[in-house]
Amino acid sequence: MEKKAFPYCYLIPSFLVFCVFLFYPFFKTVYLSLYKTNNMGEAKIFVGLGNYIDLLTSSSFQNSLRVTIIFVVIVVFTSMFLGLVTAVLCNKNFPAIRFFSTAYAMPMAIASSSAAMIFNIMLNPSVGIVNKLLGLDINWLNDKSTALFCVAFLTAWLNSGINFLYFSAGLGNIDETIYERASIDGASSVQQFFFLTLPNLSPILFYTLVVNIIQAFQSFGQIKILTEGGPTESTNVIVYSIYRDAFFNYKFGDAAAQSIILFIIIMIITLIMFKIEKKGVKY
Amino acid sequence: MTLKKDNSMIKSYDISKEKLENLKRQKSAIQLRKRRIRTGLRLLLNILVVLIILLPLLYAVSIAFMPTGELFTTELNLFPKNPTFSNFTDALNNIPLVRFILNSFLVAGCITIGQIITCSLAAFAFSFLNFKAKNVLFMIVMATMMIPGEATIISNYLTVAKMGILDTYAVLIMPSLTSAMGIFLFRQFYMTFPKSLYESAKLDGCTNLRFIVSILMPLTKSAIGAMGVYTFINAWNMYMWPLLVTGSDKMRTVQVGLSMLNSLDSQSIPLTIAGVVMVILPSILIFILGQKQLIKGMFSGAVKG
Amino acid sequence: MAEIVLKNICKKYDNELYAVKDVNLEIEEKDFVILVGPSGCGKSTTLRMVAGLEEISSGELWIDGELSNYSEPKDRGMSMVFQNYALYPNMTVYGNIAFSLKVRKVPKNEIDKRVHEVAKVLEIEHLLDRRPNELSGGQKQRVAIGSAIIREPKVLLMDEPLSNLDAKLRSQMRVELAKLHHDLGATILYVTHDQTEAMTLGTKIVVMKLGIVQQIAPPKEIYDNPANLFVAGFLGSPSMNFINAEVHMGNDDVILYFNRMTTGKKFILRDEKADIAAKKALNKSVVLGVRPEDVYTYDKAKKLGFERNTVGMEVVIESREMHGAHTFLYYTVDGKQNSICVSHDDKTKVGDKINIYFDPDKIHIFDSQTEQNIFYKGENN
Repeated sequence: MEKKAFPYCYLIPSFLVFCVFLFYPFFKTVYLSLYKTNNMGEAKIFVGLGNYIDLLTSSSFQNSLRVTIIFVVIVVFTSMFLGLVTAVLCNKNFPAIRFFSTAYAMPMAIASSSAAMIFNIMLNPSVGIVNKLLGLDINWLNDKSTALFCVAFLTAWLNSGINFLYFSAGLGNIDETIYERASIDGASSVQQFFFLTLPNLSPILFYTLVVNIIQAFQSFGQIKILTEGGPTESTNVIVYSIYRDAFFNYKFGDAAAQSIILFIIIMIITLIMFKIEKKGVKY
Repeated sequence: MTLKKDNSMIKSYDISKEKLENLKRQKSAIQLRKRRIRTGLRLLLNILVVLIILLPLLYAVSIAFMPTGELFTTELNLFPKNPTFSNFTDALNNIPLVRFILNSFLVAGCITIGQIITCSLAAFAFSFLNFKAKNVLFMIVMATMMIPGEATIISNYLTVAKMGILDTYAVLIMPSLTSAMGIFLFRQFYMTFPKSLYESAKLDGCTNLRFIVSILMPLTKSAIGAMGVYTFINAWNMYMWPLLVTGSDKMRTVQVGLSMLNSLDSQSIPLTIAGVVMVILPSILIFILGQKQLIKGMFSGAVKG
Repeated sequence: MAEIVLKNICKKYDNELYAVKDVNLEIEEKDFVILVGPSGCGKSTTLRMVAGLEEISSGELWIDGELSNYSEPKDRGMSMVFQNYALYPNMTVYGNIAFSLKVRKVPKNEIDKRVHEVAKVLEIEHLLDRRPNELSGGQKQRVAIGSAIIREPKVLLMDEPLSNLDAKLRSQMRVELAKLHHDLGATILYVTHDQTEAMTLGTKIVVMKLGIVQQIAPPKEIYDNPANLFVAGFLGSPSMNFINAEVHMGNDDVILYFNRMTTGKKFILRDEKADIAAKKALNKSVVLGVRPEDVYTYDKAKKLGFERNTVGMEVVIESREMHGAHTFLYYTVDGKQNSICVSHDDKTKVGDKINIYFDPDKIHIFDSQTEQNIFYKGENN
């Protein structure tokens, strides 16, 4: 009997943490999302899918969804672009390559909150360097039309570091001799990039895309510090909306329902992406 | 050993020696110029991009040394004219930054060590032992990666609030004491070892725990290094959870503590940034020191094109 | 007309060591030139310099009368088959073969026509839609060759193309390569470490060692008239017999004494070889070289009339190898393994003692110091 039990002993530490801080709260969140709660977060009135229906019909949540999607698209596109450009720039050996590759990966070491505080000063309308360098006079973070772009760009910058590492690893995996053959075959460096580098990078591009989307959905610190969802809800992404509903408005049921919706969105996107991958990436 | 080769067998072209030398010099000059231009262009592009990428950090360092007066001009003020350390001392005087940094070190350190222990134990069981429901349990671990932190954070908060452990180190550390990614990464590495490694150790009378500590762990140093760097940086940079569960200065971590500076008046911008610089420094240092390990460990097994 | 001339081509690395030194070589239209030598001899580096993948440190590369040291690889009009085939994993076989034409903006229907022609020649028409990772080694090989010949290059460069195949496939592909060379009339520069490939495929063989060319000649000539000890030992299987000796005069004869003059083991040279040996190597220590098929048993030597030239060469047969039509018997002299080629019905057993006789017209004598073949007549005849 003892013999049979012992393999599970090695799993106990991990599963204890998973159970207490992941499985239990996850199901509790599902449970809460079906109730109206009091200020203490205790489930009081069973409303079934009421919270969900309220949310999906409320213009505020619809706005959050829209903002989140725009945010995610900008973040994912920009951060992957930055990661790819930097990885390609560092692909061939040249002087000081180690310095450059460390610098390109650096943003992954920076906390979103620290970065947000730096961006806060950079985007400051009167003393910030962005307006000074560009010769503009824009109140970036207080303008409805620019605030979302600013937080999205900051997030993209933060995520670009790890993307650089992913793409560098991907580029390193491409067999060097196919470039030699291509140069003899007559392909210019531009042709080599589009015919060889990009297609051969596609499996890792794909993986990075999935990771980036999931990560972008969960951005919080930078929004909390830079805009607090404003101005006029223009940066109120779902995660921030969850935080505000739960810890300012004490509507834990609503917030729980939003969490579950977020989970479902992320799950569906992940599943779809892997379906596509199975069909699309053949080699 | 050298063979005197008669050059006359090789066809010679109708060209004088000087002309040939000239032609060669000319062509090699063109080639050299082309190559220089190419390297130069690459370098130039890199410098340009690196400036853009590092701009926020460089700017932060610059401002951290800038006297408050210099910041508030309409001129372009990239560099401090009269660099000063007073922003740093002011930041340290204004908020208990040292305490925050120590808190963060303690929390991030415990989380890192804890994850390495729990993940190696679990990964060991998943790769070397046989037991019922092994595959199902592993799938469950993998599936947890899909649950975003936001889906659990509310209930977690309510749980720990009810347990009355808000504002303690324990509450900061416990939820992060294991990670599916860590288990997965270690298992990937352990799977590359033959089962006979474990079997022969068993025959030599090695206990499982000893096998993990004195055989597996030394063999997977690069994975542990990678995990360690990654986990530490992430723990150091935690924001939402500490924001929710800490209330007093005694327990606050750096990232949350810093935002206290942010809410001071605008005159104290350089002071805030000086604080930010001090907080970023440890994570950057650890990143630079561990970068090689990180790349080796994270990408050697996990990412195959 | 494609004509490649290498003149004093050198490759020197930063540490001042020569990887390739003073290579002189002329490749004419329809030549099948083989660069052969042990690993690290600079053969691949030479090929890569011709291709433009490696910079030429000094010397001149002439392509069709034009100095091409610094031309881009794509402007040299060559194509190359790599050791690992270097197929583009993201493209189908069709895409791989068509690639060099596609990037040169050849019209689509023209590409299509040529791809099918090439695929037909190489018998890979049924594979055109597959991707490289769905192909076997031999098929990949064909695709790589197809991709290289579709452009009808001035010169086809091949870097150990058969070394990743198993033995059977290798000999099969060897035959096909020879056929391809004949049918297409292509000019080929081919690198290999395998002397069988070199001997069977080449119209001209370049033997290299430590970055230096040892000899350039057609297969038969290089076999019959090796310039030095290294070339003699490198080509031919089993290897040439080498026996240490000294050249002395005795009773008007030029005699090779094995193991000093006292043992009575000796070999009497005759005709032209005797004259040359007397002139070039008298009283010197030398190495006698003789191929296994030029070593005879008593019966055969007597039949040919030179049984008297070899005296006292009694050897013990240590092993016996059947090679179909021939059998090789192995024995040791001076600590070196040597062999004799006999007909397959020879009855000699392992452990037997036999006397061996050398063909006086086919022996080689190498100077022990310079390792040069004293009978070597240079490349012009």
